[in-house]
Formats: sequence, C-alpha cells, structure tokens
Amino acid sequence: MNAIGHLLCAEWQKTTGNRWAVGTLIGLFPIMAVVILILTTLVALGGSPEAMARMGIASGGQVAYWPDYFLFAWAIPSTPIGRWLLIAFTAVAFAGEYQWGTWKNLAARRTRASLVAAKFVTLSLLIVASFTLMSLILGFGMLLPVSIAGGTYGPALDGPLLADFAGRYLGQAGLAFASALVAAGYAALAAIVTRAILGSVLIGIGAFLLEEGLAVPLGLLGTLFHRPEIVALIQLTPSYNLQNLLAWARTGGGHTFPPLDLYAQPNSPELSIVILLVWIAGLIGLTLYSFHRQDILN
Amino acid sequence: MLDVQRHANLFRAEWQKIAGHRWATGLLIWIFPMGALGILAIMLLVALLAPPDIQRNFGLASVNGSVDWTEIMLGAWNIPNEMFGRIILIAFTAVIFAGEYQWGTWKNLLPRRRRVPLIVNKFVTLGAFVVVAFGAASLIAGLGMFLPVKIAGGQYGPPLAEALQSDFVRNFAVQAATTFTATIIAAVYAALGAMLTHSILGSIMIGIGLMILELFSMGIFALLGSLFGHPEIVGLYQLMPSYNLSNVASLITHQPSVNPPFLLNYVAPNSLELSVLILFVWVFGLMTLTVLLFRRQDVTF
Amino acid sequence: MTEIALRLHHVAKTFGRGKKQVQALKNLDLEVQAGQVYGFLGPNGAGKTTTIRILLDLIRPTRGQAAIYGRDPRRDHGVLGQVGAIVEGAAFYPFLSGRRNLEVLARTGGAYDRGRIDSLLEQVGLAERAGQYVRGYSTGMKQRLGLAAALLSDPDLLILDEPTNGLDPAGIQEMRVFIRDLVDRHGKTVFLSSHILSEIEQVCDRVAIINQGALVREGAVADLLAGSAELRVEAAPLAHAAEVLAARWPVQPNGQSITVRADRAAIPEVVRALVAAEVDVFQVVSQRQTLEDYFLSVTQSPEANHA
Repeated sequence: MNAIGHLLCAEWQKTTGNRWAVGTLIGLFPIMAVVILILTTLVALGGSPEAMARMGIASGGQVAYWPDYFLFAWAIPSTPIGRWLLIAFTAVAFAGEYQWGTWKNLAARRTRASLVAAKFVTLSLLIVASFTLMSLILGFGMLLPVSIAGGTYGPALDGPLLADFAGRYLGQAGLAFASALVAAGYAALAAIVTRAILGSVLIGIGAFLLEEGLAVPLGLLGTLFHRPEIVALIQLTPSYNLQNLLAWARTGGGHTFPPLDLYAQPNSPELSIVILLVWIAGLIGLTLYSFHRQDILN
Repeated sequence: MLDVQRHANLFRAEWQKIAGHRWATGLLIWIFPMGALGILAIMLLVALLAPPDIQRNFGLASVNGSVDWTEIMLGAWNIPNEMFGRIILIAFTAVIFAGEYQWGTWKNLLPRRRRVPLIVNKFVTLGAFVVVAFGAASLIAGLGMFLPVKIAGGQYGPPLAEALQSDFVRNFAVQAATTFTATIIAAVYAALGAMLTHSILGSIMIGIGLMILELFSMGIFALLGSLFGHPEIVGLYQLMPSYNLSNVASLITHQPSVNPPFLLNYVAPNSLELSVLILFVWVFGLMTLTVLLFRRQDVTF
Repeated sequence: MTEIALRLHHVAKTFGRGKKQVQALKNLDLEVQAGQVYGFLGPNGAGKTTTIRILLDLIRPTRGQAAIYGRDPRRDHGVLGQVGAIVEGAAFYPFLSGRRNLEVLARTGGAYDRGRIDSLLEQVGLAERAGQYVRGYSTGMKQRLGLAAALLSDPDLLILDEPTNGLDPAGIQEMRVFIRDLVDRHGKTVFLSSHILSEIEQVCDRVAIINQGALVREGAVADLLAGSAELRVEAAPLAHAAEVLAARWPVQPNGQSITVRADRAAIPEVVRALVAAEVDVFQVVSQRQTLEDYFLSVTQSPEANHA
C-alpha cells in the first residue's frame, strides 16, 4: 500500500473505531432502514388495512413503486435532521482531534493538507456507503412486507425503465452527496475555527439556518436601500441551488418564490452545479488554508 | 442559617462556572435576549426607514393600527416550545452536565460535596438561567417594541391597568410555568444522556432522540395498538409529557382540554389535576433517575 | 496512641464484566498514621489511582472498606472535608481563570474565603498569573493550582497523586520542601503517590509498594533499605575470596568484584578474614541500595508478578 493508501486507511480505522459516533451519526441511517423494514413487515403480518395504509404499504393488489424506496434514502441529507447529523459527524471527525489532543501526533507525520484531504475523502466514503446501504436495504427489503400484504412490487424492470431509474438515482445521489459535502464543509471550517465539537456543530447548523433564512434580511436591506433586486443574491447560496437542481429534476423548471420571481430568473442547472462546486471547493479550500496557518497548541 | 449559606455558595459556584463559559452561554442561552435585541434593532430600522406597507408586513401596526404588547411578552416564552429552541436548550443542559466529564472536573467537586446536592444544584441553576434569559427576552421585546411601534405611528396597547384587570398576569404565569416545565423535561433527557455517555455531543444526541421519540409516541402507540389488535393502546399517549403540558396550558386558560380526534374514540381527556400529577411524576421521576445513575457511577477520569 | 489518618481493609475493585473484567485491586490492606508523609508506590496500572479514587468516594469498592479518620467516606461524606487532593493530574475549567477556578471550588465546598485564596495563590507562586485563563497554563502551573485547590479547606490529610508531574527541577524541590513543611510544622498527614522514587525516598517516612492490585511491601523507608546494605569487594584471587566470605555472608560474584550482603560495620571483619586467607584486598566499598533498586527488585521478582 502506498503512502496515500495508508493515510486513508488510518483515517478510516480511526473514524470507524469511534463506534459510538459512527453508530449514532452515520450508521443510524442503515439501522433506521432495518427498523422501518421490521416495523412494516410486522404491520404487513398483523396490522389492519388502515394501519397498512398509514404505513404506506401497498396491499390487496395495489402497486408499490419500488424506485421510490430506492430513492428515499438519498432525500435524507437534504432534510434538516439529516443535515444536522452529518454536521455532527463531521464535527467529531475534525474537532475531535483538538478535543483528544491528537493533532500534534498527526501534524508531525504528514502535511496538513493531506491530513485534511484524507478526512474529507473518508467522510465522503462513509456518507456514500451509509446512504447506499440504506437505499439498498429499503429498495430490496420492502419487497417482503409488500408481498406479505398482497401488494405488487412494480413496475416490471425493462431497459427504458432501468435507464430512467439509473439517471434519476445518480442525479438524486449526486445532489445528496453535494448537500452532505456542503454541510461537511461548514462543520469542518467551524471545527478548525472553534477547535470544539459542540462549537463546530452549533456554528455548522447556524450557518445553514442563516443561509436558509437569508431571504428575510436581504429583502429588508433591499427595501431599506430601495434596491429590492438585492434579494436575488439568494441565488448564490448552496441551499437555493440544491433546491433549484431538485426542482429542475422534478418539474423541469427552476426554483423560485415571491418576491424573488419579480427580480430574477431561476438559475440554469449548469449554473447551479457550478455555484455548488465553487462552494464545496471554497469551503474545503478555506478549511485547508485555516488549518495550514493554525498554531497547534494542545 | 449555615445550611442556607452553603446552598447559596453552591448555587453561586455553579452560576459562576456556567456564566464563565462565555462562548457556550452566549450561543446557547443569552442568544434569546440577544435575539430579542436584534429583532428590536431591525424593527427600529424598519420603523425609521421602510415604507408603511413593509412596516405592516413586519407587524409594526395591525389593521386597526394597534399592537398588543401582552402578546409580544407572551410570545417570547413560546420559543422553548419550538423545535430549534428546545434543541438549543438541550445543548445548554449537555454543556452543564456532560462538560464536567469532558473537563475531568467531577473529581474536584465530588470530594467537596455529596453527589445529590451537586446534581440538584445543576438543575436549579439551569432553571434560573432559563427564567432569567426568557424573562429578559420577554421584557426586552415587550417594553422595547413600544419605540418602533410609536415611530411607525401605531398604538401600543392595551393600557397596563386594563391588561392587569384581564387575564394577562395569569396567562403570563401559565405560559412561563408550562414552558419552564417543558424545558426542564427536555433538559432532564439531556442530563440522562450526559450520565450515560459522559460526552456533550452524546448527551445532545440522546436528548434530541428522546424528544423526537416523544413527539412520535402517539404514532408509535397507534401502530402497536393496530399490531396487537388493541387500538385503545393509543390512550397511553395521555401519559406523555407533551400531551399533559398542552392539556394543562389549555385548561388553565379556560379552554377545552386537549384531545386529538384520534384519541377521543378511546379515552376521555385527562383532568387538570391528573395532568399536573403526571407532569410532576415525569419531572421528578427523570430527575431521580439521573441522580440515581450518578450516585452509582464510578468517576474514573 | 497515634491517630490513624487512613485505613483500607480488604479493599478490592473489579472493573467491567465478563471477558472485559479487570481486577484493579485485590484485598488491599493499608494503614497510615497521622503526622507523616506516606509514600504510595507501584508500577503503571498497579492500582494506585484506583485506591486514591476509592478514598475520595469517586469510585465504590467491590469489596472491603476505606476509612478516613475512622469514618467511611461513602457513608459519611463529611469526613472528606478534612481531605485535600490532587488526582491523576490537576484538571480545571479551561474557560475560567486560575483564581475563578479556586473560587468555584471553595464555594462548592461551602467555605469561600477570598483572603485564603489570595494567600494560597501566593504560596504556590501563581499570584501574578491568577487572572489568566487556565487554558493558557502549562502543566506545571496547573499542578501548582491543583496544590492550591487541595489546600483550600485547610485539610488535615492531603492525598497527592503524582504532584510533581510537569514541574521543573526547582519546582520539584520546592514541592518536596513544601510537603515536608506541611507535616513537620503544620502537623498534616500526606499520602503521596509518585513515580519519582528518589523524591519519595527523600520526603517519605513510610512507604507501601503495590503491584497488580496487591500490597507487596510496607514499612519505614529506613527499615526497608536497612536490610539491603551491600559491600563491593575487589580482591585477588576473586574465586578464593568468594569462597572465604561465603562461609559467613551471602555472596554474589559480580564481574571483577564480588557483592557481599553485609552492612558497613562488617568491613573490618571482611578484611581480616580475607587477609587471614592470604587474599590480596584492593578495595572494599559499602553500597546502600536505593529505593529505586528496592522497588525494582520487589516489583519485578517472579513472586511479585504472581501476587
């Protein structure tokens, strides 16, 4: 194994060795999938038709649309709770080194850039592994309760459906991954600045909330300075562009809302992708830069 | 007398310690009065610079040109009932309880004082911080909004005497008391998490997890009822803190008792006395559990 | 009759369950009389800190009883008011100043006295930096603050776990003088756990050595080392000299010399015996075993390792 391989392997061992954090912050997603599966199977076995309907189990000849089960997992990183958990996980990975006083052991052995890069790569791998596993568990597993309840797991797989599903799956997974990386970027930068897990979590969550509520202060500033078009600056934020891409994928049109629709057209998907890439690269770059210049005191 | 002095000293020590953690208190508790100040500053800017339609959008003057300060003062006490407010308070509790493990400071405290007063004192201090922070936020918002409303040309009512004659004081006390109880219950979840995980993040995760579990408890009970063919199991929801908090708040303000339609098929709503009793059992039960866990714990770091 | 400051009776402690079970202490018996410096020695993982934590009611023993001035700290927590301690390195709130940390601890104990805090900060040499956040303190400064914290309630018994960790040589010497002074002039009792055996040898009246959770040796420092005096004899022919001396004393060949288990008073007799046997004597030197030698001999012997 070469030096980079060893570094990644070390990071993986270290991160997954913190079983408690991995279990509750990232392993939670596949575990949740198993719990959902068990619950739905139990309901399918003994529940009333109303209970099955409430649990969304197709019964008595109804059709369960399996691509939805596969795609469900990838919607989680864009929800507040999913994002907060990913922020907490990133905070443990980055700020944990300050808390445990272990940066001093690592910084002497490798360049700081490679250490931070290894953390981002490992986090990405774990995130992809966790949500892929959840997606597979739900996608294949839900066949069981649906079959027990007498529903149909459809539609039948054929070439065009597979191509369409693969496209949607990759799009959704890519979007989720981008969302997770933005969250990780905020948390990692906050970890370097605050050197504390809790500080990193709070600032990471705060940054997201600030970004999502940005329309209000921008609208206010626009009103106060008689430049209402300032609100269009929201189109530069990651949250807007993630929602915009989602809207393009779902409806074929971009994401907008009043009063934004009065002053700007929605971003094109290409522009949104570029803006997201700039954010991700910018946050990771800023994390690297801050860490590079930092005195390690403990 | 000496005993009172010792308790006062213990409370003061805890207050000094928590307040000294400026970063945590700033972000997790003083953020509420500071947020009230921030909102006030924005309102002043709007009152001074924005056109009337924007001022109306910001609630500076209602349709009949009057803003009710009693509602503003009561509104501040609603923040801990919101999900984000509750999570922030869980994080604050986690710092207070799990921080001692993280800083390795339990070993300094335990030889100086018995475990029970140490833990009880943490709850008391937490309660004091919550009352001060939300009391201040409520006062800042209630008194401060007078200025932007007046600048915008609105009426700030009702007159104090009229408010006192109406149910304001009672409503305020009820709102504050139910919010306080809800906060303490969320805090005890986090404190239990701290005793079990010895870590701030772990405590927050367990606190939030238990809070979410409680939120979904009615659904869980309904599911269990459906599975076992006993739909009346859903009635167990009436034992949960959130149900009883809403029920108490509703009954004290002379409104009908709370009962989701789904629940009505199986059980009658709890009486005021029963709800208060159930809340009492929850708060003291969870606190006792925290104390018991801590009493039996080996402090090895 | 001298008062017993601290007593452990058949104290055992087991951590964990099943395969992860670790027996940290095995029926430990110990008695420390008031008015002395008592050294508590043992290799890493021997159970020293576990013992100290039991005494301070931080952990509960699986079996047996601990007593401080005859009172069980578990049942009668008030007795810990007579105890000051530093446990496994001093730990403080990093976001508070040194002085504020002491204030918090004093108030927690129910006895806040600003004058005493000032005086203690002066005594441990931290008066000038007492206003700074502890997060900026060096290990040695934290240790000094730990000593001040231990002395806050003017305790009769001080339990100090590795108090010289992180101190510079001058600081170590100051600490030694300080500890002796506490006992000799102020009548305190000090229970001192340390790895620096030369320090223990210089400052302690009695020592206990534990290994793998069990007591290996206990006694006055002078008594423990008394029976271990040795003479190094250089003579020729060496084999004949060894044969002559072996008739009266335990002898061990040691390269170009032989080691005789005898004290300094035996030197004339040794020389006479060798001269009488026509052995040429070049040098006879009295060697006293240090506490370090003694410690290593008792903790590394096979019997100690199977204790």
